[in-house]
Amino acid sequence: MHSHILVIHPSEIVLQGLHCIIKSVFDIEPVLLKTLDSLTNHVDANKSQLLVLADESLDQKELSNITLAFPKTLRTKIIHIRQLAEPSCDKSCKCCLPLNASRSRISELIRPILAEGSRPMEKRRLSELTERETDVVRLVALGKTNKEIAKELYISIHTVISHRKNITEKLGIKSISGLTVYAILNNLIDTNSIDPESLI
Amino acid sequence: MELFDKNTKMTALVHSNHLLLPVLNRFGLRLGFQEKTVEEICTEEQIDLNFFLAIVNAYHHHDYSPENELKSISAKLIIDYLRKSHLDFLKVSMPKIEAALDKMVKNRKSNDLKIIQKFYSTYKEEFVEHIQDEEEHAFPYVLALQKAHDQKTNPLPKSLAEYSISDYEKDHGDVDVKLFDLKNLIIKYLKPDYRDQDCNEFLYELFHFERDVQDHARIEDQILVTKVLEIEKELKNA
Repeated sequence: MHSHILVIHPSEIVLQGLHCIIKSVFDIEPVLLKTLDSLTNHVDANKSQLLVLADESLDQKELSNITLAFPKTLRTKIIHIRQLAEPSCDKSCKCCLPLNASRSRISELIRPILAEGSRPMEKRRLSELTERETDVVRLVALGKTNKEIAKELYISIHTVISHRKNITEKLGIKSISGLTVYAILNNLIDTNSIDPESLI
Repeated sequence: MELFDKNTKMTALVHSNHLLLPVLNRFGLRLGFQEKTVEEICTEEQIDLNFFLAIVNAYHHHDYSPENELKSISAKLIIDYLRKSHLDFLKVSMPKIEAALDKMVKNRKSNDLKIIQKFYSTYKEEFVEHIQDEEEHAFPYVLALQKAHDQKTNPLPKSLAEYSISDYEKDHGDVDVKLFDLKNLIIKYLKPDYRDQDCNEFLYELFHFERDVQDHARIEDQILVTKVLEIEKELKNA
């Protein structure tokens, strides 16, 4: 396996529940943690990908600082475990997991991430944007403001702006509707639930 | 930088930059120049020589700004030219782009280009709106201002005194950005199930159009607006 999974949540029930589902669906033993304290000790630098399922009540700033210090070869994806689904997050949302999600929704969310992790490094470099930048492009395409994006991804507005600047530099696309077209062409938006033309 | 001057042969001018052909059309010039110089043809066709040279040089040399040459040119002449370019964009360039895009969409299996087409149509809407805004507000304001200046109208009518060209002339930035994005979306992110010929044709039209629009914006922003700001200053100090 190229990926490993960390679940961080104060509730034992949530931890064990996710452990049970992940183990039975993907045959991966996730590491279970109640706080961020010992997170770094559980990171396996030999793997190519780390998936962190983290409770939304955790200090998100600290979490992103910790993950930023991970080795560059380890691709880290964070999914927030939320009490309730945000009204704006539909089934295509790839960055949060509501507690009432069904077993199949959980596996649908995790499967593509693990699949991505097993692809060789070389190939992944072709996709120009980082995972986080991809999240930002997707939300920009859905018409979210910088403020809304910051809230949804638990990052500061300043960070959103800096992501957007990098995105524009990498893609050579400046306008919002241009970024929306990019997101649609690259399948970042679920075009079955949203009419893509209505976004442009 | 070797500028065209009054002794340049009109034929040589076309040879050095064929993209100037539509510019010549805007001055009402037709081919068959024989050995005539720019000056001879301008005299025959009653075209202001300095204005003609300023426009073709500005188009051909990106670094050339003919502000000084255009000080003596009336705003009316500049606006006549800008209006003709607007008409060219709407009646010639854009239909050509659309025809090329339609052809590309028709000969392709995937749906990608439908999205590009939609993007183009929102771009076009904004562009047309920008043009209409200039035709209906900015240009009439400039013409009225020039008239007041020439006739030394004092005091200025309220409709002129309260405004400035900077209220009318909106930034060209956003419109330009979309055109650039459109090119990049095609060049960088198109899936390769298109016909080469169709796509090249579309891109040629886009590049040419972009060049034309940038030149046009330069004449508006650097020449017309600069000129009008000076007239405003003069009138308001009078």
